[in-house]
Amino acid sequence: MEQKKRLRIIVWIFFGCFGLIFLRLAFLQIKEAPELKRKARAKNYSLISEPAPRGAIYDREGRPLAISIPYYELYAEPKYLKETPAEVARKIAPVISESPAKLIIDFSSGKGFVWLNRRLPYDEYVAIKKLAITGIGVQETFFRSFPEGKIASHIIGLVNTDGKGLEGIEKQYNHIISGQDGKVFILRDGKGNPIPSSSEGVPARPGPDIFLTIDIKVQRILEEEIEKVFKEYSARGAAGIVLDADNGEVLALTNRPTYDPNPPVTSSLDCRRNRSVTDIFEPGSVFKMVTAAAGLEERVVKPEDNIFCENGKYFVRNHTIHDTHPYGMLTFREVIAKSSNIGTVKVGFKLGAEGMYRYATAFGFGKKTGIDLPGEVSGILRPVSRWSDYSMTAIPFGQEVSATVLQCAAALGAIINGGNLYQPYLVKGVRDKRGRFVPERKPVPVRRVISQATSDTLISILTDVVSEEGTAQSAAIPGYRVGGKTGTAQKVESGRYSHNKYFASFSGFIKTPSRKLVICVMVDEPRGAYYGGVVAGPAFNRIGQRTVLALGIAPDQPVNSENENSNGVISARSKRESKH
Amino acid sequence: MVNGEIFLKKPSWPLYRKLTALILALTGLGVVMVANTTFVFAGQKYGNPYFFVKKEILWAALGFIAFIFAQKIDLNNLRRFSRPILLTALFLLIAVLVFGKEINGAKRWLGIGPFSFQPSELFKIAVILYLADFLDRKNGKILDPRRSFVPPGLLIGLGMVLMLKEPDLGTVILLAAIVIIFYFIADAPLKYLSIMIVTVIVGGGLMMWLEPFRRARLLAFLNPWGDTAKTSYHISQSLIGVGNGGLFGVGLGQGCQKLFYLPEGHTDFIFANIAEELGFFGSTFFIALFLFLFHWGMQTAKRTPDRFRSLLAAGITALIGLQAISHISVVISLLPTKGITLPFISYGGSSLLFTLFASGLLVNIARNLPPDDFRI
Repeated sequence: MEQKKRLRIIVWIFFGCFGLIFLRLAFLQIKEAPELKRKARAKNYSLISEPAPRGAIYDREGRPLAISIPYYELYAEPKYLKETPAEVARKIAPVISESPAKLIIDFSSGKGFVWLNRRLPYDEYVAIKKLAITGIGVQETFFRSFPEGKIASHIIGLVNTDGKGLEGIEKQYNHIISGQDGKVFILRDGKGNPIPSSSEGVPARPGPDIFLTIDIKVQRILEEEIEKVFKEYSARGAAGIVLDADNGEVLALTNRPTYDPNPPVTSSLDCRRNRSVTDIFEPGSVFKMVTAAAGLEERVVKPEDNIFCENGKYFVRNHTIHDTHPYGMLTFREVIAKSSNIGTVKVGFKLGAEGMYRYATAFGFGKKTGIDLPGEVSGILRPVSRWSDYSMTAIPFGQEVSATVLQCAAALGAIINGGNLYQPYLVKGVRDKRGRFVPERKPVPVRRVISQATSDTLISILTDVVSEEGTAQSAAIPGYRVGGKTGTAQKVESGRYSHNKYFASFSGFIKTPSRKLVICVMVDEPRGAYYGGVVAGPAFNRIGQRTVLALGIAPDQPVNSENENSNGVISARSKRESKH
Repeated sequence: MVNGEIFLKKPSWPLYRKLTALILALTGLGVVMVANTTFVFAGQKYGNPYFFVKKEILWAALGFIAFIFAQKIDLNNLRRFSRPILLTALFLLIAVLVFGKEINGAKRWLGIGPFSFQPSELFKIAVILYLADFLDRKNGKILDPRRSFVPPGLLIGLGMVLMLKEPDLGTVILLAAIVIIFYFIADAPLKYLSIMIVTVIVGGGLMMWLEPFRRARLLAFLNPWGDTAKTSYHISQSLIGVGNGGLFGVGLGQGCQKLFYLPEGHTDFIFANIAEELGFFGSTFFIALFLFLFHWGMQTAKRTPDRFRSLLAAGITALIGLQAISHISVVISLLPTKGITLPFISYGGSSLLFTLFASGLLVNIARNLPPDDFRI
């Protein structure tokens, strides 16, 4: 029986070994499994990023403003080459017209990854694909092209070499438009060969297309005319906006200086700045619209009320206010049409500081409009508590406040559309690659600022500005109801108002029963002339005339011969416009 | 539970039937795993994905005949041929050194047409047959070292030296372990057993340490994540495969390690592929199959009244069990890398043939057990 006992010992030793194996397996396959799985994955798979095509940017009619064009990048992974570097080089050198010697150096560099050609044309891409050499790969990528060049560049923006939006819509909507890069894991065998149809991962999600509110026809007109006024007056800068007053859609927006976003990008940051939203200026007389609107809405003044304009010099609160042209008694309507500072300040006094501030705020001054562009600033409108004794002698005609061109345009839009302030916006809709439209963006009414009646009255008053008696006769367009307000603001230099540097602007509108367009023109430091009516008025006139044609807006006003005369000739105007 | 007793009386399968079922199942699974692990490799190397499977199925068919034959054979007759068989095996071991095919730097195979034959596989069976016969006849005289240790020592020692020339240290150590187990079961005094064990450990240890490639393997075993590009490549890839399987495995046929990552994935490391594809549950299932084979084999040995048959059954069972344990232990890095195949499963014609022949002998013994009073 000794033998049976020893047999039993052997059996138990073996069982012990099996038990040990079981424990070791449990350790490896349960406890160590995550780490070993990670090692397996790291070794068996290589991750390849598949760039997602960036969505295109179109104008409101679907005309392309920014598109992504595919191209191909050729690379080598020398460690996976199955043939000798010389053989591979001999095969692909003729296809990509590269010297075999250089390729051999690349292959033998000891690097795991080398770019061979980062701009491979399509035909060569196909040829390389056909060769199907292990260790040689091609990756599809995209470059951004802006077919309109400089047109609307400040709106569209530009992208860096990695395809990331740097400015404009490209930046603002980068998260949407760039889509989602795909991740492809390619299973490789122990020799480095990719296993066919074994790749897994997340496919690239192409970025959806963006449709802007911009109308490229209007944009081109605006670009040409702003360029013209910018050059004509050798200005430091210029900006122009065409806004649909009924909903806040920006139809066109431009700035000078400008740039071409197409690579290679050599433009300075100064050129790339979207001045109409990032730069502030003192609006000057343009701001009288706000004072007028407040006065009328608060019933402190009626259009035909007489206001004594102190013959051009008004000493009040230890401060003297001047008018460019001295006036005696003017109706309120004339005060605005002739742009009398003194008359406006008197209305402001009746309103009081609180009233002035309330309306300025209600029209959106001192606050960002919220347009979908990066870098917008809020302008400067100090709270009443920080106003000085002089503030009420300055703010009513647009000193001591700063605003962007866009804020002026939005405020004017509220004045002429019946009293509703709309948030200006640029993106009308988004369409993904399957053609699905994200519901078209609805206009965003910010608030009601003034009543319909006040709006109507103001339209009639502002129309007078372009009449024979007004400061901007040059802006009038025969056949259309046109109005607006000139602005000639002295620039502030080291804390004092300059006497030779001005912002010349005209914020105007064209109103027909079907459309209400706001057109703002601002010229920074024009040379040769500086009155808003002289510098910006004619530009407004040309933009307006061409825009109504481009958009097919029919005239609805009788055309009289006087207006016809006043039209066409641009700057040869003997009439003097009053300033401020 | 009186009623329960009645139901429990339902007779279970006799041992020989359990063994037969297990052996056939293992052989079938082996063919599947060989197909699975060689498909891509054979396709690339020989342009024929079925290159290995076809051979394996042929050998399995031959092995099946050997399995049936071994069951029908008269063991008393066979026993008379134990010494001639051992001498034949020794002769073939000499032949392999002269005419053998060299694969991966080792001369272990004799080519017969398209087939290759590994004499060491025959030698293992021959030694078991010889020792069972020898130790049975020397019953009672095992205390005399000159008579009971020297003759087998010379014959088996010669075989071991020949195998070391191939070189095949793994099989030599395996064989030495079997010899020790044999003497242990045969009631050899512990004094002599200790001498044998010490000799094997010191000899094996020295041979491992003095041969650079073996020393590198030993070091790799001690630090599997050391030089994973060279010396530790094999073991690290094996461990990654096992771990990648996790609880449930990556799925039959879905393993990555066989894709040229793990060399010898169809032979010396086939269990790594099993563990990867079938996970902890699958590999435990395979281990359970071997455990039951071992358990039932040893049951057969215990219940056989004839000492020769008992020793033979124990030897065959210990051989299969020990090979399985060594193979799996290498794969999961419980032992340093040794070229040991997994019985029934790994690719290898002569290995499968002789394993099935030996299993046939085991079933033969199990068939002729006396009725068991303790079992119904």
